[in-house]
Amino acid sequence: MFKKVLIANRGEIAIRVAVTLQQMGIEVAAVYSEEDKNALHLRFANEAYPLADSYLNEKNLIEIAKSCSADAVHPGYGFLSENASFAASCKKAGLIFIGPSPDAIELLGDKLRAKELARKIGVPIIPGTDADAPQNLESFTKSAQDIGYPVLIKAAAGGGGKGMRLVKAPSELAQALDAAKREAKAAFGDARVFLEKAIEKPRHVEFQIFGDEHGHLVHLFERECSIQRRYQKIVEESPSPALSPPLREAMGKAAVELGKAAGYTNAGTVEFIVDQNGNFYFLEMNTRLQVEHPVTEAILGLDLVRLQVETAAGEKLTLHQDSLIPRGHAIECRVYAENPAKDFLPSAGTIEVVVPPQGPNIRIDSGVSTKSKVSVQYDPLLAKVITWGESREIAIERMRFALSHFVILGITTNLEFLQAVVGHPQFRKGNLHTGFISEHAESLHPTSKVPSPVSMAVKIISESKQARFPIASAPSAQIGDPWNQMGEWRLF
Amino acid sequence: METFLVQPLFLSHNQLLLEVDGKLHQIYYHRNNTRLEIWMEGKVYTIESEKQGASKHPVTSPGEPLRDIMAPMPGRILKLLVEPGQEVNAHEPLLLMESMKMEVTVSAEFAAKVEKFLYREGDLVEMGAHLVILGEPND
Repeated sequence: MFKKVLIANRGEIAIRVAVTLQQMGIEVAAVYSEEDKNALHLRFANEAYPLADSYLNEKNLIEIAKSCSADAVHPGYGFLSENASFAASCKKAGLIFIGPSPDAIELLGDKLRAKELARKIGVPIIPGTDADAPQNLESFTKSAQDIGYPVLIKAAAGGGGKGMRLVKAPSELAQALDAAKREAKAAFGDARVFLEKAIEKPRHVEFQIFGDEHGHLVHLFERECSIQRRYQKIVEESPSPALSPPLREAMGKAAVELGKAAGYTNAGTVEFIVDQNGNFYFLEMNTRLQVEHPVTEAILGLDLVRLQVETAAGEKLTLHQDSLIPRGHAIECRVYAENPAKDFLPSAGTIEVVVPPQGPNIRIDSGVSTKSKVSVQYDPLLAKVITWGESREIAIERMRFALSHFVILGITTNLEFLQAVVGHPQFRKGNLHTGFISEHAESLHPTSKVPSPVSMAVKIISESKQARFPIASAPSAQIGDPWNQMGEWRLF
Repeated sequence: METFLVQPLFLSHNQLLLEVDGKLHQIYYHRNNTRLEIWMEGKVYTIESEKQGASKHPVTSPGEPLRDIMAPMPGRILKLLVEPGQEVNAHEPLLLMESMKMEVTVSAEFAAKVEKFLYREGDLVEMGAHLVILGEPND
């Protein structure tokens, strides 16, 4: 086993990885940027080294790892975690990259090659034409007929919704095709478009897979991540309320086949889109540990980072598909420094108060503490709240409790918004899709009245001299100034 | 007429336990120069304070820290209890406010001279609005 591992990351995931390494008796080497010289993740390390510039400097990270005699590098998620050249450079330098092989990262990181691989082994992909299809109405009419309406016209050269048109019926096709071509030409200088089946109210369901270096690979069931804003997940859960047992089995099998076909090792995630009729389509593969991995850990009682480290060290994976039985239900909410009232724009500042919730089956993976500085330079993820329950209802109740007992002051967070999401009747019913937040925008952004105890507190606090409050653990009789200044509160 | 029995207990410089008619409310807060944030039962309430308003009206004595009084809650000004120019003692009531069927007395934090009221009786004000400008007492 490794003696020392360098964690090439920051924030909650650096802490998450460090905690497992420490438990395994492996020394932790951390790195930090100039802004992070007082960051929380350094307190979980045995050694800490300043970066030359950023967490993305491959050469610098490998130099640090070599000079501190680390055996391996854990990339976390984001930054260099899905960078095939970094994984290859580690190998070349005699370091073990805790993740899949550079070849697997390269193959699966290329969306078109990954789709091609899925198609080849019979994993369903979203039906459509490719950019080489003849660009005339006749050919598009035929293709649309074959695929089945509604269809999406997409620009070959780009994304971001430009050159995209939803076509619900054959009569709309001609006009939409012209408009999409014009828009694509204007936006990308390339008028080529292609067709894809439009999935209405799609659900995002992904499967965790795990492979060792001895040819053994299993799936660790699904996570539904349909609750998204700005194309980013904020609530994840397992099991998915959308999957019947046969559908779960079929998708799990597809995920395993894909992983095996790619020669995949270590932790990975196969993402699918599930439509309202229970059809599933391969979307893409993530070749790293996911933000939402604790959901899987909760339903299976596993430590995925420990498994990553063990398999990277060449150990055999002792998990067998038939003996993996999920228990109960787990949900994760991502606490972001952002303002849901202002289109979820990130907020920056200094955290002044943090009081995490506690209780059975409530897990907090946090990257911040009091006086942590949150800069807009990095991902605004502050913490993850994970709850487990015997049933989905109990997991939701626990989540509502945990979110409403999580205190963060000094910076705007999405904690209240998350409470509105998990408390929403449609969420409780499991009626999820990737447009959930925009569909229910009105009921998710409630305007709340100021309750009277808050008004009273404002008065009491504003009338008290700051930093002169007695820390009163004694009976109320001993309380000083603020008590005497209360005046009279009358109801009439 | 009903009277609330309110009992505050400061647990630390950012934690307040408020007992209102026998019910406990856990309150966390953070105050800096420009705003007061209050957390209660999973919600955060932000109240803009002094310095924000400083630009809205002239400071009475330049260079001196502004010593005015903020509205502790959104509501209506019921009654002004003192006159501009009048000197008041610490904790002396300055005005009455009404909000959510609740009446509250806004008092001076320290001995001061009342320079100016920024609202009239009957006016609606936001929480944190600057109500009274206080100056140094004459002596």
